[in-house]
Amino acid sequence: MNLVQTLKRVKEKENNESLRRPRALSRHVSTLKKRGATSRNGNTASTGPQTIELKTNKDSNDDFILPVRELVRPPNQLHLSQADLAEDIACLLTASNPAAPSNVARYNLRERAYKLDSSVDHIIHHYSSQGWLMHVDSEQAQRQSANEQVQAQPEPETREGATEVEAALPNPDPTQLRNQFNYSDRAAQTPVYPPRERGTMTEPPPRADASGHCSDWAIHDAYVADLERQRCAKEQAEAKSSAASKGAASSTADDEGQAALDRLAQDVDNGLHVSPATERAIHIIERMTEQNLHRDVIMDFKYWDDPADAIRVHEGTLLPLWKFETEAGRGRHVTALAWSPRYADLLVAGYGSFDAAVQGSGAVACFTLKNPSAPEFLMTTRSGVMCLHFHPHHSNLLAVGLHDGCVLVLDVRQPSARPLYEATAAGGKHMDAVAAVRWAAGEDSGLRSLAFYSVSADGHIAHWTLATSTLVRQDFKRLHDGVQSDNAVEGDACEGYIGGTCLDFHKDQEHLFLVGSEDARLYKCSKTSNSQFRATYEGHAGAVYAVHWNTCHPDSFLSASADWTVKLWHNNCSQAVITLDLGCPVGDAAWAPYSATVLAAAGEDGRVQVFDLAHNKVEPLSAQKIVGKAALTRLAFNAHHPILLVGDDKGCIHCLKLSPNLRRIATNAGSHDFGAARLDAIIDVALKSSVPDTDEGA
Amino acid sequence: MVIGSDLEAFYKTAKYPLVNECDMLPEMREEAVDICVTAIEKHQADLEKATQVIKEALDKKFGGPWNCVAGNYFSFEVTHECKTFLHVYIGGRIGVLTWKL
Repeated sequence: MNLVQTLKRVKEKENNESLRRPRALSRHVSTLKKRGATSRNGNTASTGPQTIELKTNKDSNDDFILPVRELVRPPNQLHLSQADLAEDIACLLTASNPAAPSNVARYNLRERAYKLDSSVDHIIHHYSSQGWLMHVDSEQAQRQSANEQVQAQPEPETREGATEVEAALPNPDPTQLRNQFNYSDRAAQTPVYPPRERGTMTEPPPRADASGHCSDWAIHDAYVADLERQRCAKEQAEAKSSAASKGAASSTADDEGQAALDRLAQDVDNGLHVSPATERAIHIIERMTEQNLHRDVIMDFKYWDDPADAIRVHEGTLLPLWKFETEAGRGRHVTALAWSPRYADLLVAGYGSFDAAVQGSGAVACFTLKNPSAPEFLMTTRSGVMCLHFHPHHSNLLAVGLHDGCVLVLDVRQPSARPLYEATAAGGKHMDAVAAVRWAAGEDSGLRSLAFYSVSADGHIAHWTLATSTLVRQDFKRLHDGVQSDNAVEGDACEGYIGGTCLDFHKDQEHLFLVGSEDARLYKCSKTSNSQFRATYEGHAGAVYAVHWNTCHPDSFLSASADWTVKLWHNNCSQAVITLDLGCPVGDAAWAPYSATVLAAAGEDGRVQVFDLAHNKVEPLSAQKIVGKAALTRLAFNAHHPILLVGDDKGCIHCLKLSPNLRRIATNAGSHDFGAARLDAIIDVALKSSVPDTDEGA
Repeated sequence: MVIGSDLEAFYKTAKYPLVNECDMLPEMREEAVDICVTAIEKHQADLEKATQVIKEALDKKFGGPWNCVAGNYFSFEVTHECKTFLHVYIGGRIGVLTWKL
């Protein structure tokens, strides 16, 4: 143990002990110091320097080892002579502090008296110092020595002899020190993003597999086959050149191909060319789709009845069902409407214009209730359609009257662009718009003698017979004013003639028919005599737009006129029996097929008014606005279902369902005459009430 | 069975290259066949050298890794890029198969 180590140890010990600071020890130390100082003064005095150095007491084996101190004599220390120094001064050390007060009295609150406090602190600290030595074996010392070694390592060359030893030693501390020169300014520190890999997969080029083999004989065969092919090609070329020299030998084959191409082009023009079976399947699928789309409408059509009708007995409603529109008829007037007499769901509509100034092409479209979106049959005509009529028995035959005076007969089964028959200018067409066409009932014993009547705005009533390829016209009569007819013979051919507007045959007496005219009169004619009218009915103030025999009552008919009224007439009475005022020009009126007393009228104000004369002879049971701004032009009852069609002047056809109150059948004493007797009674009552007026007028 | 004299006659007639199987475009095919024919004629004795020449020429001309097989008796089953396959017989003796992948 060298000296330094010893010193360190001593220092550390003192340090440790000073931490504990036992009272008795410090007292002891102070005593020792005093004694040491006095005993050694004699030794050091001879050397006589200002400083006195104390050597360690090596002999002492006890735990108290004196620290090494250099005592510096302060300048103001007493200079003692030898005699003074040699003088013994008895110094008594006591454990008590002589300066401490011994009679401290404190007030004791418990005993309410001052009491002597004996606990006086006798410790005086003359000097204290924090030590900085540590024990060589302690943990702290080891750490420090390790640190010193690390700091010493960066320059191992400077310490000769120690390098080998240190190289052999493992690095005690792996912590790396920073290179202080490797730094950058804060301002220069921009983010450096780590590189990222990024790529997209492209589709590889298409590949294919090939296999085969190659051998002497394969090569040989290939060449032989190729030579053969070359030889054949040469022969063919020779044959072709010879054929070309011969001329048009192959023209027939070319013609055949051309014909096939033409056929194909024609098919393409006509649209999709499919087999009949496929066409039928497509048809069914189309109808199924429509049925799914319009399911609620179909349910209404089939089952819905207005429950309010049970409460309000004298009112009824019309429920709008489908709307039928087609592109060919958009914006045109619906000039004619008819139900097929054979198929309860098939209807036909004619499109044209009532306005003589605005005329264009027309169209005939057949719809079915099963497919309201697209017509089953569509044919466009060069002139506007004015009227049409299904043959009652040959339900495929449709007579059509056009605005330019032509009459056509169509076969609606064939979706061809051409009519079966057409009366052109050469064939004697009408000179003005055909107002009405009606198939003549009772004359059709065979197809040869199919005939229909037409009435035109030029006043002619014509009879048309379907010959093998043409329509044969036979002028039946010309409407004329009886007064002016004499002048007309020599003068203008049109003088005194009246344009016809409508036509209807009697339901039972098939020779009788009624013609409405522009001069507000109705003429009753018979097929049997074309010389004169059977009767003339006067009473309207405007052109008659529609005339219809009652469906259930044989002798009554109605007429709708531009004078805002619908009049009910009796066969035997020249004056109107009942007049219904609708408040607007009446485009069309019709009897219901199920009751003699129910009629409906379509007004130009867009309302459909349904009357039941058995319940109310003045007011309609239902007056319902069907279209907002359009005028209604045509109206048709379905013979089998309680539905009604009305056409407007925008090319739209509305299907309406009659509520239960509107389809009541007026019964009279239990007879099944569909209200005919009831109508008789009503007419009787009306006639009786109006007789005085007629008498007065007469 | 081919008799020797017939074989000689055959070789005389079959001096042109015959494309056995090909899915190249016409211009490419023409050039590829030309390359094959010149290479085979030049290195008639050393087919390995010929294939090397063909491959390098095709690589240079059309780019991409081409492969070439030449010989008179082999079978093959290869996957190739579309429009880059050619199997041609040259001179009635040697079949050359080239494809790119």
